[in-house]
Amino acid sequence: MTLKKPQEYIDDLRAIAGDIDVYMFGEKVENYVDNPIIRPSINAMAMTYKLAQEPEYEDLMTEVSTLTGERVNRFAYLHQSKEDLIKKVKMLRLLGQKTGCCFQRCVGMDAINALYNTTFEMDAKHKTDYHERFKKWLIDIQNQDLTVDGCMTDARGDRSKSPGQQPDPDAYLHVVEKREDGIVVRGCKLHQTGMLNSHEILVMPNNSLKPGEEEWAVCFAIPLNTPGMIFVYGRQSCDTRKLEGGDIDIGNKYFGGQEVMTIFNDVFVPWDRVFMCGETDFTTMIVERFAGYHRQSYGGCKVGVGDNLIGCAKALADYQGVAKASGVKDKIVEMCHLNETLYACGIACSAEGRETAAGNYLIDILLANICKQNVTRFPYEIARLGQDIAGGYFVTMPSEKDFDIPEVGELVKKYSSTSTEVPVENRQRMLRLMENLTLGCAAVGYLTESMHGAGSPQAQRIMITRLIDLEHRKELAEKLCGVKENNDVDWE
Amino acid sequence: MTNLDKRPIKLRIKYCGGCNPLINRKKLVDEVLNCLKVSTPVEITQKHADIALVVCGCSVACVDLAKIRNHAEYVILVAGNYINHYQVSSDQMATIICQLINEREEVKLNC
Repeated sequence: MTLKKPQEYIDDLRAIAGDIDVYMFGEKVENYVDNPIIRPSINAMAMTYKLAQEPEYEDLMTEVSTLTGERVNRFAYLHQSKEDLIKKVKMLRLLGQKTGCCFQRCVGMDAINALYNTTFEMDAKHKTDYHERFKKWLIDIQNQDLTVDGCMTDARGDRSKSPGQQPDPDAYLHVVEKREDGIVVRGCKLHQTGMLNSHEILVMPNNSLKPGEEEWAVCFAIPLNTPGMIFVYGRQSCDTRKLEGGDIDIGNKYFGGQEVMTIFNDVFVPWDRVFMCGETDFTTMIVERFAGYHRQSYGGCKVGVGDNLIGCAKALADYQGVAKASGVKDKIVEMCHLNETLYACGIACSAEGRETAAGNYLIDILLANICKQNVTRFPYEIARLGQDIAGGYFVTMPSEKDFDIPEVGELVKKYSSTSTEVPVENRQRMLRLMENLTLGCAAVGYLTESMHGAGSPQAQRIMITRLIDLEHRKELAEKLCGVKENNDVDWE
Repeated sequence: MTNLDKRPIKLRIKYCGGCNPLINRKKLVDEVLNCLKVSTPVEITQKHADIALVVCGCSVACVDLAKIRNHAEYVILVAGNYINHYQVSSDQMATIICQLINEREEVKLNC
């Protein structure tokens, strides 16, 4: 079996849920799969399985694996061309449209592609066998259609100190013991998107390391239910609305994101699942390539969510009778312009991708960083314009329960009505979706994740500084104005 | 010795368009040719070649390699700071290209 059905995926999670140590609101969660706070995020991940089953989405959602010859989910696939990189962006936009939130599976795809080409180059230099180990593991992932959590961001302690300088060495995940049969690791990865919805965890170092910091230079994969793993579920704005029993005030009726504090409490990893152990000279490559792939991803997924936000603003303009106002129309055009600019960046860094020594394709790192830099800004402006068009009622509207009680229900409906042609409940639902996307649960993914996910804005600016040749540009200007001789002009 | 060893190496040099180069392509080729003068006789050709040296200014490498491969026994691809997909420090590029031309085989670049 290479393409799992959504129900089979959810059954997989149910089968291991009893082995997973999950904590939320100060309590251990016994069955996280059916917990109303967590379930929307599982539904979003399930959509990556659902669409792969549908002929009308097959071209984007699946591809034939070069490792197995079988058709596999694109989230477990190694990009073989620029066209594949472009299709990845389109697939992420599609899923953003279908779920209206972070659907969490891209981080594993990005880690898989980065590890594949980095381990190849690491082996060429160090005569190690990480690439073959990794391929063996990946074939298993593809054959079973498993979801992988790409796991990078450490707790990091004092940000002014490198891993080797931290008073607590656990501030960055590290190897605490090397055994004949494997390694033991300790540490914590923060902000882990979709962690509990993944079959496997693929761990990478957080940053560039130098000689002397070998214990932190470690990549490996473990199943979610590995002994020693502890998960503490992250809160989201308005999360407890999911416990209220209604289906309007939650905004997005079906889907949501998930971030988890993930603690590795002396976890054993067998050698055949270790893909880097001490090679500090390849930590920069793995971090830059994973970050590059992930910064490309944002040019797809956030655009798909943005499509929902634009649709929400358009619907509210229609429902509230302002759709023909030139100012409103202009604001919607601006939202579209910003959203499509992000998409253009995602496509551009894919179209300018290149083949790696391992054979899979890598995006253009500079343009991927430009893409993500824009993503740190534009969704905030799109959200601001959406809120502007919506009006203030999406943050002052009474609870959905107040619309139904005998004492004031009819009055609340009467004074929430805009037009006889628009049911009050439609307006209610759309206003709550605006709230969800711009300051509720989904804003975690659409706004703050846009800011900090795949690296905060300054991380991209550092990369842009490194990758742009300013001296070349200076020389262009000097030749043009006569400061330097211009040999190109050799005619009379 | 083979016949190939006795005659000059037929070398085809193909540049990308040079829109956004991260390296000085012309300077690099001059360095390579100077380096080869010492060890290897070279005949520059635009026809079928023993080796095609494709010099692209950035990692995108937009030259159509399929066309080049049809007219050369062996292709060396320079793409910004990468040679045959491996990253190389700027000061080593010419030396490594000369080494590849002399050896006429793909060598692993541990850079």
